[in-house]
Amino acid sequence: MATHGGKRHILYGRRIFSGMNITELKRGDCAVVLKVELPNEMCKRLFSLRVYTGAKIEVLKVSLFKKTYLLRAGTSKIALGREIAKGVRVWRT
Amino acid sequence: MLVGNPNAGKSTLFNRLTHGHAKVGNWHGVTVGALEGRAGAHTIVDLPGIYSLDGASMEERLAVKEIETRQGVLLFVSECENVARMLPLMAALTREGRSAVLVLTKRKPFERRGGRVDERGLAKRVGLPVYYAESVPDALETIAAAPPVRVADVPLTGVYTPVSADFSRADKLLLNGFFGIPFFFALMLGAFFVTFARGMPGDLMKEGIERFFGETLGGEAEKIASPVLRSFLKDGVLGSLGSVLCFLPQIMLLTLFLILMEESGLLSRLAVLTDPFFSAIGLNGRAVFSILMGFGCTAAAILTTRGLDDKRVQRRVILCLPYISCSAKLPVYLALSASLFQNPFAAVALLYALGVGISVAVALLLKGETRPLVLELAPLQVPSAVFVLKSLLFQLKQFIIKVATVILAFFLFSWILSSFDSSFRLCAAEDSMLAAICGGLRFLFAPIGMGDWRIAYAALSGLVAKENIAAAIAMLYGTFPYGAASAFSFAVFVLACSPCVSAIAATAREVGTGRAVLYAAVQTATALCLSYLVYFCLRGGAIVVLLALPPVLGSVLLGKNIEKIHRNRADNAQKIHRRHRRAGVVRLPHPAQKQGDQGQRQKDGVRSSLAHGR
Repeated sequence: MATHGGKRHILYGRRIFSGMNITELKRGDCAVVLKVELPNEMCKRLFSLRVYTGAKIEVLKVSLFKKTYLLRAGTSKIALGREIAKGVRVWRT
Repeated sequence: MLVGNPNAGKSTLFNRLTHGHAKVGNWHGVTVGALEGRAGAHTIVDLPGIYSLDGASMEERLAVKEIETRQGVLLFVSECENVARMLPLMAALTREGRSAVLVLTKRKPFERRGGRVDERGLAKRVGLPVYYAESVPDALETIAAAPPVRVADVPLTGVYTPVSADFSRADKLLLNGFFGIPFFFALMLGAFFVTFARGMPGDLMKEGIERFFGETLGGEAEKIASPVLRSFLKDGVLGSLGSVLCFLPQIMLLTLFLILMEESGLLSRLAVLTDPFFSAIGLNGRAVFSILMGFGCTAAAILTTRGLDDKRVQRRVILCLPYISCSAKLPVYLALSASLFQNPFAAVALLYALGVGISVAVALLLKGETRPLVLELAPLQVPSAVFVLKSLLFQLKQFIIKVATVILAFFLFSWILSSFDSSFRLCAAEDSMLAAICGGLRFLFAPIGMGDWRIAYAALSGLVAKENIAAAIAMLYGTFPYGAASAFSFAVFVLACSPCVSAIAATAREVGTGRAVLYAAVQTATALCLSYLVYFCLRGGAIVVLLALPPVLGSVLLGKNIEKIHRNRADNAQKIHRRHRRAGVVRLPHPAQKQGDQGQRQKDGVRSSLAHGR
């Protein structure tokens, strides 16, 4: 079974893919956002930065100690701290 | 009605149309209610920003309700960059036909970055008239007569070119730690050089202002016959205004540098580069500029903390800044160390390093929850001169009005104390009320071998400006009469004590007066304790301190860990309780049932009293 850019789970005999979060991506990886699992205010903030379900992102740089992730989202470059990046589920393309 | 995403420019357009003063900010969530204004015969309504029709927040629900209940033309306000994202909202709101137009904002930055919009082609493609924000005031009559439309959510290829978001060579260099950090370090050094170095613009302007207040206006005040009025004008008003306003050129230069860094996009890149280090000590990358500015001027650095989006981080940075040795402390360090140490540079460098160490320790001690970094890298561009000038003038006006009024009041009060004796007769400083107060405070410095009112006076004068300490010591003693241990301990006190009144006033502006005064008091108290500790170590008690340090540090860390465990346990207990409530394992009683329970209890009480035969 290919991983298709996410974790595999078996539930009631059906295969489902739960995706991964941004911290599991490497520099140069492209992904599609599946879900933003963060408080409402942060979801709105990320929406204004073009990180929402269905948005395409690319990891441009990962900082020292993997504390900060620099992404391209739409036409913008955004920096996310690790705790925020962990809450964004993505599907690696 | 102005409808659009947050931070799209609705309130700016509202102000332009109605000459109103709706609050505008470079952040979503600034407009929190519907605002009405008049533009000629038309009523303009500014609504809070919405992303979709089913928004969760109060402002979004209010905006949707206003759109549904009011009649009128909808002005969809969108940044040029976000047109495609606005289409679903526009299509949803005009599904059953509604008069609407599209207004595009922030055109120049969009075009500067390579974006292009064919407004006629766009209008034909999506099915509604398109205007740029600049042309709306002239086209208001046409807009008011706009026919009903149904917006089509369709691709915009051919009529809309988005900006390029490639990782440019400049970004690759600036965000590379090996190039970026030395580059920004050199920029900061350049800023400090221009602001503080001898013969540079900042220093020259400062001297000019001091000369103007001291010699020009002070010379005129000298001609006044009445000694009280002369002293009031010369020492009180002119002296205080001069000592505050002489900071203005340097604060202006640092503020200008900050605005240029921010508008050019360099500041956001610096924040990203330094975020790993700062988040490790409980701050975040946005604090880097404020911390670095603290080496120049604490008051200006505190004002720059306003850019931090997390209030908790702002408070922590404000608490760390006083320990960063500002340029005003350098003359004090040199005055205290030059006559006593063979290599004063080493002593001064040690003091600077100690200050940075204490700042980091304070940040770690106060380390708690922080909002992780979420930052959009601003595009690299040449800042607009008009915008920079407007921002600079605005910041300077705020500084002059707020800080100067507070400090003027303080100065006049301290002038009264230092110019009059207890019978309110004009006298020399040594016989004044201030000297009497300082006489009462001299015991504070007795543990570091200096039980003299003049040291207390010098320390108090540092509240006005740190350079005054060196001037006061020179005036009252000539050369510093105490030993090296006392000198270094006093320098540590100067390093760690409350900052000058300008910085306290800037702190009051950011976190409130009560908190600012509390911070100053706590910093002064800890500075005294630290100076006692340093003196004790320098006089042979270092071994005792080294032996006592591990258990003290251990108990502090243990206390913090115990608090963290209890906090986690409480959090976990709450999480379990919430999970059980959701699953129906725990049901909270209905409020009506609670009243019923009280009635039941009363009945039980009656029954029990009957049972007891009362």
